Amino acid sequence: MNINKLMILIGIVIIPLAGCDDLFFEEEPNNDAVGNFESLWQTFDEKYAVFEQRGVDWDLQYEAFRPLLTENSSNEELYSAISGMLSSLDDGHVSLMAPGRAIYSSKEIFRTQEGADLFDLWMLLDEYLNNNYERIADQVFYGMHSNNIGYIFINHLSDPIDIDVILNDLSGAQAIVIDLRHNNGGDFTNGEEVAARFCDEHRLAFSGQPKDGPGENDFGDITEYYLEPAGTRFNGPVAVLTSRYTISAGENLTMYLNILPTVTVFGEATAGAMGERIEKEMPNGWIYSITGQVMRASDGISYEGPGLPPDVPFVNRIEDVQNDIDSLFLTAVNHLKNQL
Amino acid sequence: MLKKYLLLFLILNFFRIVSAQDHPPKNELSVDLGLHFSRSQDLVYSPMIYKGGSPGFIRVAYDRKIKNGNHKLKIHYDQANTESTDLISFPGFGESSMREASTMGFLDFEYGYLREVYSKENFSLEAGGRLNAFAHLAEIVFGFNDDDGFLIAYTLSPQVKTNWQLSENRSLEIATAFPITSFVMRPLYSIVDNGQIQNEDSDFGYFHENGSFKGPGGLTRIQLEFGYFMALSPKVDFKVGYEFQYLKYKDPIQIALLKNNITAGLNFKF
Repeated sequence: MNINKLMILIGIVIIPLAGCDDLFFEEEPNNDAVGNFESLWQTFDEKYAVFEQRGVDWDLQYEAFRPLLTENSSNEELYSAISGMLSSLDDGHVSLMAPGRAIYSSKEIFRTQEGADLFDLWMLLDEYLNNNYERIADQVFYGMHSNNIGYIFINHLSDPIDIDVILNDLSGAQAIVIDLRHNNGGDFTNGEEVAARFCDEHRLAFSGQPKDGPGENDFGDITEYYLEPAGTRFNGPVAVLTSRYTISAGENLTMYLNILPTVTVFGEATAGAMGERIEKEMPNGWIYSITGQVMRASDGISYEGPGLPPDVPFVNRIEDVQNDIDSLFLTAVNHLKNQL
Repeated sequence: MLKKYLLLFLILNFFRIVSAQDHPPKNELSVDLGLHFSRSQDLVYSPMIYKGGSPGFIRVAYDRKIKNGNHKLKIHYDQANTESTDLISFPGFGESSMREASTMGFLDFEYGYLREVYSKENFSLEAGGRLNAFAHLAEIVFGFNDDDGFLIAYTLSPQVKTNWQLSENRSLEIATAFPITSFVMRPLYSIVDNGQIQNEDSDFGYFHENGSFKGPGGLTRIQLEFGYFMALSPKVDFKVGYEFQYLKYKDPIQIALLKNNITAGLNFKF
C-alpha cells in the first residue's frame, strides 16, 4: 500500500469514527416526556439511598405515574407527573428545578411552609437580646441574653464560622443557647468546627454509608464520624434548639452536639434529610436532586424521614409568637439557669 | 512591551543557536498548539454526552536520540467548555440562576522509549513502550452544586511508531499505543465520599489510597497520532497533526472520553 492510499484509508475510516457517538458511548435517554421521566426514575432507582427509610416502593410509583405520559406529553404534564412522584418521598433533599417555576421540594412542609412562622428570629433578637447582637452576614447572629447566658443563631453552614471569636465575645456566658431552628444546611464540616468547641473528648457522632451500586442493597463501607475537642473550649451547659426546618448539615451539627453530656436538645424533630444531597440532570436540562447516602446517629439508628428527636419536645404556639413570646427559647433558658 | 522584545530576542537567539550547530542533532524540542474537540459521558454524574470544542490544546515534547533508540518526554493539556443539554435558567433562592457549561480539562505526562525494529527504503518502524500519568478533570455544574468529576491514571503501554520519508523534506509519522496495565482513580458510584470529605486537605494521598490496579482491558485508551512534517531548514520542521484518543473505564460505572485534536507546531533540532 502506498502512502497516498494509506492517507485515504485513514480519512475514510478514522475521521467518520471520531464523530460516531453510538460506537463510543452508552445511548442517551430520549429528550421527550417519556425519555425524561424514565431517565429520572431510573436514576432514583439506582442511586437514591433511602427508599427503605422513607417507606416508598419506587416500582409502585412508576406504575402510578408513568402511564400518565406519552412521548408527546407537554412539559406541564411531565412536570406534574414527576413532581407528583417525587412528593411520595417527602424528602427535603429531593427537589426539581425547571425553567420559570419555583423550586419544587419533595417535602410537603417546605412547600406549604406549615409551622415556619413558629420561629421569628427578629422578634427573638428584639425581645431577648434587646437588639444588642453581633451579626456575621446572614449566617450567624449572637449576643448575650442576660448576664450569664449567651445566644448563637446559626442560619446555615455554607461558610466556615469563626466560632472562637464568637465564644471570646461571649466570654461572660456560663451557659449558651445554640439556635438551629430553620438552619438550612451547607457543609457539615463547618458544623463540626462549631461542635468541637463544646466537646470534652473523642466521641462517635454519626456514620454515613453511601450507595455504591444499582441494586437496592448495594451500599458501600460505613464511615464513622468522630468529634474531637478543638479551639476555644466551652464547658458549661448548652441548649440546642431545633425545628422541622433544621435540615441537612444543620442536622449533622445537631448530631455532633447531642452526643455531648453538656448538651440538651429542645424543640421539634428535625427535617430528617441528613444524607448528602446530589444534583442530577434530565435530557431536557431540568435539574433534580437525590439523596445518595444513609446517615445514622451515634445510636446506630437512621432518622432519615422522621428526623432527629429532641430531648425535650416543645412546639411554640403561634399565639405566643404573635405576642412576641418565644416559649421554646424561654424553656431552654430556664433549663440552663437550673443547671448553673 | 519589554516582555515582548525579550521573548522575540530569546526566540531569535534560539534559532541562531540551533542553526549554527553542524553535528547531527540528537535532540528535538517541539511545541504544538491546536484545536480540541471533546465528547465525554460519565455515568457517575449523568447519562448525557457532553460536547464542546476550543483552541485549547498545547503540547510540549522533548526527544533525545541515543545509540539504540529514542527517549521522549511529553506534556499535553487540553480544555474545553462542554454542554449536554440546554443551559436552563432556574429560580434560585430569591434570584434566577443560569446553568453553566462544564469545563473539561485533560493533562497528560508521558515518558516513552522507542527503538527501530524495521527499516526499508523510505519506511521505518519503531517499537517500545510509554508510561503515562494523566488526569481528566471535569467541573460538572448542574444547579447549586459543583461536582468534580475525574479519571486519573498511571498507565504502561506498548507503542509503535511508523515513519514514511515522503520526499527530501516531507515525512509522515503514525503512532499508536494501548495500555496493558494501569492504576486508576475514580469517584465513587454515588459521588458521596465520606472519606474524601474527612481528608479534604490531602486529596492526592486519598485518591491514591482508593485507586485500583487493572490489567489489560481494564482501562481502554486508544491513541492514534498522525504527524505530517515539512522541513523548513535542517534544524526546524513545521508539523501538522491529528490525534484521535478514546478512553473508557467501567468502574464504578462507565466513563467514556473521545478526543479529536488538530494541531500545528514546530520541531527544533539541536
